[in-house]
Amino acid sequence: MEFFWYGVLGLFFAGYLALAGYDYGAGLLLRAAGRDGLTALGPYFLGNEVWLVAAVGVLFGAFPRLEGELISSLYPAILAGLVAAVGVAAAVGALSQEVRASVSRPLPALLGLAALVGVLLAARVALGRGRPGVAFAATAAAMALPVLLVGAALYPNALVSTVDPAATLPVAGAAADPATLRLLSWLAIPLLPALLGFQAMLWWAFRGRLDARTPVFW
Amino acid sequence: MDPLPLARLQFATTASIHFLFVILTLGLVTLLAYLQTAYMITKKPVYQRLTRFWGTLYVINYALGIASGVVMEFQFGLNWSGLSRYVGNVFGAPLAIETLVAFFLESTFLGMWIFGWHRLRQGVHLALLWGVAITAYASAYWIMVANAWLHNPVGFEQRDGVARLTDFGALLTNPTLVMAFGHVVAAAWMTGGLVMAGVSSWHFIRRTREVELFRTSLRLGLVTGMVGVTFVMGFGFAQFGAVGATQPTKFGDDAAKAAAVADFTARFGPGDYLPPQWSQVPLGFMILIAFTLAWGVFLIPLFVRDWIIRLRLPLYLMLLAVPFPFLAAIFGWLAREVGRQPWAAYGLLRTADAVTPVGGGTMLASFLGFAALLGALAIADWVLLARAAHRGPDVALGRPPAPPAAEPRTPEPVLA
Repeated sequence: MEFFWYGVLGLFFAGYLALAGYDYGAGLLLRAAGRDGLTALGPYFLGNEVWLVAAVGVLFGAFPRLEGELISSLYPAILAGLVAAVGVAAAVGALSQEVRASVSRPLPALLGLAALVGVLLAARVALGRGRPGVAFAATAAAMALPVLLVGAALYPNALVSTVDPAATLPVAGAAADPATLRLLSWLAIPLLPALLGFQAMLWWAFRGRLDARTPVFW
Repeated sequence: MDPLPLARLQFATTASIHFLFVILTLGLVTLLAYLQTAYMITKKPVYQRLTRFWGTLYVINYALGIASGVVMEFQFGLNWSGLSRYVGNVFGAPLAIETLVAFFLESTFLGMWIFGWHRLRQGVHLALLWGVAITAYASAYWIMVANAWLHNPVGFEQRDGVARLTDFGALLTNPTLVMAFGHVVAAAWMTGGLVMAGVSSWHFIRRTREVELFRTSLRLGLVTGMVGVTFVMGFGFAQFGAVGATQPTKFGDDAAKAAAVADFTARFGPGDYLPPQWSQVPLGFMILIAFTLAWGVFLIPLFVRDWIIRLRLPLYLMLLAVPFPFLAAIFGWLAREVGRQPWAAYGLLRTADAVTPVGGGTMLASFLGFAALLGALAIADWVLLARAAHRGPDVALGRPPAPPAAEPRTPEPVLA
């Protein structure tokens, strides 16, 4: 049960990193890509941002102890991140610090890092060969992979303390009471396909290319 | 420096500003669903133009409000880690449900609605707006489930000092929930309606030519506002009974207060278990505002022969009324939340035990940073709303696509 919810948590964080990554990337490249970049992003913007809200919601509901420990112990980092972009990338920065501090299972971490380098190289090659779609998929994977990387490397722990081994928080210990998880599972199992389905519908409905008729919003 | 008052001040600031966005969103989405449905049924273009105009204001408010919600959500973990540690098993569940069931869907639907004008079929497009409205209400409901639980913890047992969920149904039928949820929804109708009436009045004061359009929204806004004001008072006064029974230190009589204090002292040791003296002052102001706004019902008969517009004084009154529902909302939350102090979860977890043990300096930086950020968001929201409202109904949202430009004609060679 905890594993299922840990997976759900990872799914939402990975989705947030990949999808909001487009938003932040388009924002950073505003000068280079111009307003067309933002216009293309328009319909998805709200849908992308909510992945973070959902991820923190799952964190609170299914892993309340992890939520309390993680967010409050990284107070300044999360504060800076939140203020800087109201909630962007704060959790990412926090998680990446944990990885450097202690990796309990080096093999998956190394495999993951290799995969990360691999997809980034693939993105570069695909772009060079004029295949922007493949390059896009590869960079999206690069954004999502760190979540899998951190999750797999620390498993079965969720939060590793380098100062005091007794303070290390395993996934099972971080999870909410079984009664709470059961309740949430009853709700999530029918709902998750619907959530992902509506997101897919969003992407499908606006799959067309930009043209002069595309509503501009920025 | 003591981090506790700073953390409380920060929560009050964040929650108040967040709620200013929330009531307008919830009120306007209700009116939008009505307007677009009316267009679907009657096919009158005025309803489509109204949907597009008020939809623009709604979207501005939503887009800026989303950031305040993210700060709200992170704040529990940042400043109140005791909540997740001791009561997270119970309190976290409705919050998680809210993000998954309601908010996630709401934003997905809204993105499709904004950009789906003239691209999606009309029925699908209207269904999306209804989806946004329903999930917005669901969102408010689950947040109030979580809030009501802090006011009256039910459906749990304590093992190893941690609250564990035993009866989720009890959370849904919490006596402090039902009337409070009705109160919040009615406050949203009141706010959405009075904002609509006020903006329409502004255009009549400036002698707009869009008489049919703004007459429709003025009437709709005023009627909705008055329905809202009626129910907000009904649900408001109905809460006194439930809250008096569950929180004797807030609304109980002297005997009940003394009994509660004795019980708390026995369980948690000596301390000050009564809320600050001033905590019911905002309640008085809130009730005063509601009684004053309720006089607006006498403007409704002036719809006859457009006297409400021709007399002009009612227009100024309705414009003047716009800020008051927002003020009343903040007063209401102050009375509800300060009135339950010193408890974070009433009778279960003290506010002082729920706060994250960080230094005062960090907390001060956090408070100043977020207060500046959210204050700037709120001001940006009002400036953008005022500008869009002033500009009037020719908005970009949902503008019918221009016919494709004709092929550029190659100039005829003249001397061939």
